[in-house]
Amino acid sequence: MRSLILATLILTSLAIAGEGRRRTVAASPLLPDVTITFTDVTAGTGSEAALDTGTIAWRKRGTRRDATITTRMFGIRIDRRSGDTRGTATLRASLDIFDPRCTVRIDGVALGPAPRIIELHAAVGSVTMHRLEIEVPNTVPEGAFHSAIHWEVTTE
Amino acid sequence: MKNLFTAIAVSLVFASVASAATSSGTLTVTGTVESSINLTIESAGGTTSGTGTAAATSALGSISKYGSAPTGFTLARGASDWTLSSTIGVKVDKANLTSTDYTLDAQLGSAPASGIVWKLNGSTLSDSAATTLTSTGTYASTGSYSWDVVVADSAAAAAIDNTINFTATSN
Repeated sequence: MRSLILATLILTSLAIAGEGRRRTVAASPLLPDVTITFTDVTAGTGSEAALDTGTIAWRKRGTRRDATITTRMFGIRIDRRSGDTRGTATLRASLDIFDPRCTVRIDGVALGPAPRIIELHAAVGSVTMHRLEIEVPNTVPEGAFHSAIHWEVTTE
Repeated sequence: MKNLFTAIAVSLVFASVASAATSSGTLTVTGTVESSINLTIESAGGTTSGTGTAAATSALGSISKYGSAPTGFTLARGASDWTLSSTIGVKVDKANLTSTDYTLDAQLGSAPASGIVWKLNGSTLSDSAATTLTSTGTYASTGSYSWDVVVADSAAAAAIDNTINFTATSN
């Protein structure tokens, strides 16, 4: 019985050590076990993409008198490299590059430097559509704006 | 002892199931904010429609020297003509613009009928050239401009329909 316990403990240690190595691989930026892909964007492929909203000009007939809100729809696809579509993933977003002249929202959630949960149980293996909102107050000067949204997906 | 083994085995299963994978991506968002101004007709004499927009209409109905003044107008009778007087309220809003004021011009859409004179702020309007009403208009404030229609006694009894086109230009 002692031998059995010892063998079990060794196996446990090996399993934990192996799990540790697997996690290391999973955290590697080169080969993550899960991938994120943007769809319905204006440029880029895979996990690095761009969405150009074009020209934003205030119109009085809009819903806001003090700001212009421009919306765009885009998709995010989450996949496991194994092809397994079971389970869900948590999708978070934050601003890597922040243009102080405008407010960026995803599905109504205002973004900042700290990650915010956009979707708690996002489906794996299919595209989910999200709404990007850019709110520009009338008081800010004209010109180009540039923001970068960092996305993080974690499978459960 | 069997329980201990089971507990170890169960913890192994949990350790495997609880593993989570993380990945990240970046969506760059770009665009260009363009400055704009917006002109609206806020008020006018007559029976109006479309006020608060850029295309308002004012109906004066039938007018005559010895009749009643239309709604929102006064009527002044002269020796050889008569004048209907009212005001037009024009508002210009701005967005994403550093300009502090604007120039407002007005021009008739078509030549006035013979014997009819259209005036804004005392200046006679024509269909061939714009008349400047102000070169220091204040944004987001309704400017009131006197509006006169002078009808000569010799003018034929006919419709006097016309259009006043306002143009605001940021300074």
